[in-house]
Amino acid sequence: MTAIISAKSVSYHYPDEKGDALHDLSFDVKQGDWVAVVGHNGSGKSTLAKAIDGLLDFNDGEIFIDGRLIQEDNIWDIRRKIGFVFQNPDNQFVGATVADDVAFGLENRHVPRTEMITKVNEALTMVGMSEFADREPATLSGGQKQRVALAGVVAMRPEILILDEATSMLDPEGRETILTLLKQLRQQYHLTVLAITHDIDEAAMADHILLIDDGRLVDQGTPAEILTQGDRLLELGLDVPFGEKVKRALQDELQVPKEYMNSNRMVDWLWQKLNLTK
Amino acid sequence: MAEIEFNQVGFVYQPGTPFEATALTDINLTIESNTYTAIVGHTGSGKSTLIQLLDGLLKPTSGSVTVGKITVGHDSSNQQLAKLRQHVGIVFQFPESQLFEETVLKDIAFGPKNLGKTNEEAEQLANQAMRLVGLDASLASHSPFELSGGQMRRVAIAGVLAMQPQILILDEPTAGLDPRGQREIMELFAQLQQQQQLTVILVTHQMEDAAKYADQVVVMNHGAVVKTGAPREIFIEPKWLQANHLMVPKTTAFAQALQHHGFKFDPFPMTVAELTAQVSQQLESGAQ
Amino acid sequence: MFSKVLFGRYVPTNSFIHRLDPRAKLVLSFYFIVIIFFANSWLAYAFLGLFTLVVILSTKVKLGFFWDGIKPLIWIILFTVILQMLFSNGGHIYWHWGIFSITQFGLINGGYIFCRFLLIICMSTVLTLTTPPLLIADAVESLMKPLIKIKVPVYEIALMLSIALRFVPTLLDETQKIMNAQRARGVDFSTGSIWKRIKSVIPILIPLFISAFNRADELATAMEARGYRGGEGRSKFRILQWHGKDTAACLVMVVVTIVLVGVRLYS
Repeated sequence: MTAIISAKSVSYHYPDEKGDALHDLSFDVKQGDWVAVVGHNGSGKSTLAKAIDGLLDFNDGEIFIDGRLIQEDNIWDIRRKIGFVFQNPDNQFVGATVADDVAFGLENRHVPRTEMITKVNEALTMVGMSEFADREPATLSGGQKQRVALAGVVAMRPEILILDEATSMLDPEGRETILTLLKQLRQQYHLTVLAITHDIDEAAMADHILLIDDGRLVDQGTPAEILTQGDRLLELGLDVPFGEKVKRALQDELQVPKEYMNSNRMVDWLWQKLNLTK
Repeated sequence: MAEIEFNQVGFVYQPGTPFEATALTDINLTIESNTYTAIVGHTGSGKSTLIQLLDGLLKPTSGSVTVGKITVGHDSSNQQLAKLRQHVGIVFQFPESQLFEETVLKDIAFGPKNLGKTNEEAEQLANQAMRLVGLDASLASHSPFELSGGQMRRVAIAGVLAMQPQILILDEPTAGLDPRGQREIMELFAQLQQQQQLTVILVTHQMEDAAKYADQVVVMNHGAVVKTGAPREIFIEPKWLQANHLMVPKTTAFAQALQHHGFKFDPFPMTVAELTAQVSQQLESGAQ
Repeated sequence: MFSKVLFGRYVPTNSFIHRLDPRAKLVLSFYFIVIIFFANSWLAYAFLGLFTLVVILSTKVKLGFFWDGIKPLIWIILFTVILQMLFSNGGHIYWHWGIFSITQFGLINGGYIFCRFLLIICMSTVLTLTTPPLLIADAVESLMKPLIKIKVPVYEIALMLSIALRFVPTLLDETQKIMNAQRARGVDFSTGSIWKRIKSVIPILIPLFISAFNRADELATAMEARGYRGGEGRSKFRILQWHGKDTAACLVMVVVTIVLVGVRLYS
C-alpha cells in the first residue's frame, strides 16, 4: 500500500498569534483508509486539513498528495483529487439551488453542460436528494445541506475526501444519516477519508487515528490502540467511548480485559461473566 | 410552587397569509420552581417557539403563559412582555454570536444596565457573573473577540447570569464545544441550579444530558407536548423514542442489551455509575 | 407591518406568468412602466388598470392577499400625491393658503400620479411575486452579456448577485436570532427616543457584521477548495430558454401599446 497523503515536518503559525498552530507534523495516510484526526477545539486539526488542500501556506515542511509535492504551480491539479466538506453547512453552499450548488465545482472545471446535468443528477441520487434539486438552501435542514455538499464532492470523483467536523453542527438524526452515507460513498468510490473530529464515537469508526494536541501529533494508531487510553483521552479534552466507559467503571470491582471493548463486545463479555457465575 | 404554566397555548407564524405555519397547538405544561427540566424533540418540533414564548419574545396566538405572577396572552402589551423577560434569562444556541462590546466586562454588564442598574451596580454584577462561570478576572478588560470559542461562550453565559434571572433557559448550550467544554458547561449549570436555586430549562438533542441532569423531561413532536415525566419514565422505551425521532441514551441502549442477556435492573439505570453498580452487584451475588 | 409587504417576495403558485422566461418578464415589466407615462386620459388609465388586473388574476395569487400586500405602500403614494396636489397650479382654484393651493389641474394631476404609482407597484410586485430572485439575477446576467465586449466583468457580477441573493434569507434569519438574543438581554427596540432607538441597533449591527465577515471568509475558502478561479471559462449549468409563450407575451404587450396609442390619438 502506498501513502496517498504524506506530511513531512509540517509547521505553521498564524501571523498574528503566538506559538505554532501546527508543529513539526509528520504522518502518512494509506490509500483507501479512513483516518480520524482527533483533538480538542483549537488543537490545530482544521489548520492541518487546510494545509493538505493547499488552502494555506504552511511555513515549513512538505506535503505530498499521491506522490506529488504540493506547490503553487500544481495546487489546482492536486485539489482535483481532493473533495472537502466543511463544518458549517451554510457557509459552503454557493449555489442558489441544490442542483446549482452541486454543479458549482463542475462549472469551475469547464465540464460541458450535457455532461454536467448527468453528473449532477447522479450525485444527487447518490446522496438521496434528487427530489430536492430545485430547492433553495433556506428551506433545507443542516443535514440536508451537508448531503448536498457531499453530492458536490461526489460529482467531482475525487480520490480523497476531507471532512472538517462535517457533522458537528448537525442534530443527531442528521449526523447519523451523514455517517451512514459516508460509509456507503467510501465503498462505492474507493475514497480515502480524512475525518477531522472531536467525536470519539466517530473516531471509533476509523481504520487509523491521529491524535493531535496543541498542533503536535501526540500519538497515532488503530482505534484499539488509541481508544483504550481512557485517562489520556480525558486529559486531552476528549471523551471515552461508551463501552470503555463501562469497562473503566467496573475495573475496581472486576478483572476487566485490557483490549479495546466497544459496546457490543462489552455486553457479550458481561453476559459470559454472568453465565460463569451461575 | 408552580413557577411556569402553559395553558392551552397555541402559536401560528404569519397567520392569514400563504406563509402561515402552525408551530404549537394546545400546549399544557407546568414547571415547578427550582427544578431542572429538559425539553427534547427533533428539529422543528416546536421547542424553540416554546422557549421564545417563555421569554416573552413571542406572544401566544391562543391560550396563556404564566411565569410567576405575570400572565401573558395574545392581547398582552409589550410592557407586560418586557416584565416577563426580567425573570427569565435565555442562553441561546451559539450565544457567542450576541457579543458586541469592546470589553468582556462591558458586554456582561450590558444586560443589567438595560434593566436599569447603574454602571457601578452593573459592573459589580458582571464581576460576580464572571466568577460564577469560571472566567479569570484578568480577562475583564480584554476584547471578547480575542478569546477562544469556549471562553466566548462563557462570556455570553455570564451576560445572561448577570441579569439574575430566576428562570434560566438553555438552548443547546454545548453545541460546537469539544467534549471537555461540554462536560464543564453542563456541570456549571447543574451547580448553578443547586446553589442559586434556579429553575433551569434545558433544550437539547443530547439524551444523555437530559437523563443525567433533568428532574423532568418534556417530549415534543409536531408542535405538541407528547409526554412529560421523570427521565426514567421517558427513556425506558426505545421504540417509543425512535417513533418520536429521538435518540436512545447510550446507557439505556446498553442496559436494555444486558436485559436481553439475563441482567435485571430496578430502578432502570440512567447513568454509567448506576448501571455498573447494579451490574457488579448481580455478578457478585451470582457468584455467591 | 413590513411582514405584510408583498413587493420582493416570491409566491410559488405556478401560474402561466410564473412559467414565462424571466428575461421576458423583466423587459416587459420595464416596458410597461415606461408606457404608463404615455397615458394621458382616464380612459387610458382605465384600460391599463384593467390589463393589470387581468395580469394579477392570472398569477393565481388571491386578490385579497395581493391587496393586503399592496396596502401598506398606498400610504406612501397618497403622501406623494397630496404634496403634488398642494404645489401644482392651473385651472379653477378651489382653496388656497399661502403657497399651498388646491386647483383643478392639481387634482387631475394628483389623480394621474396616483394611478401611475399604483400601476407601477402592482406590475413590479407581479414580477417579484412570480419570479424567484435567482431567475431575475439570471435574466440580468443574460441581458448584460453584450457588456462583456467592453470588459465589464459580467460573470463575476452575476455570481456576486446570485450569492448575495442566496444569503439574504440566511442573514435575515441571523438578524432575527441576534435581535432575540439582545431583546432577551433587555434591549427595547420599540420604545424610547429616536437617539435611544438608533443606539439599540448597535448590538445587532456589530454581531451581524462579524458573522457576515466570517461567513464570507469561510465561503471564499470553500469556493477555492471547489476549484473556483474566477468567472472566465466556466461552463454554465443554468441556461434560460425562450419559448413560444414568451413571444406571445411580447405580442400581447404590442397590442396593449397599439390600443394605448389609439386611445391617445382618438380621445
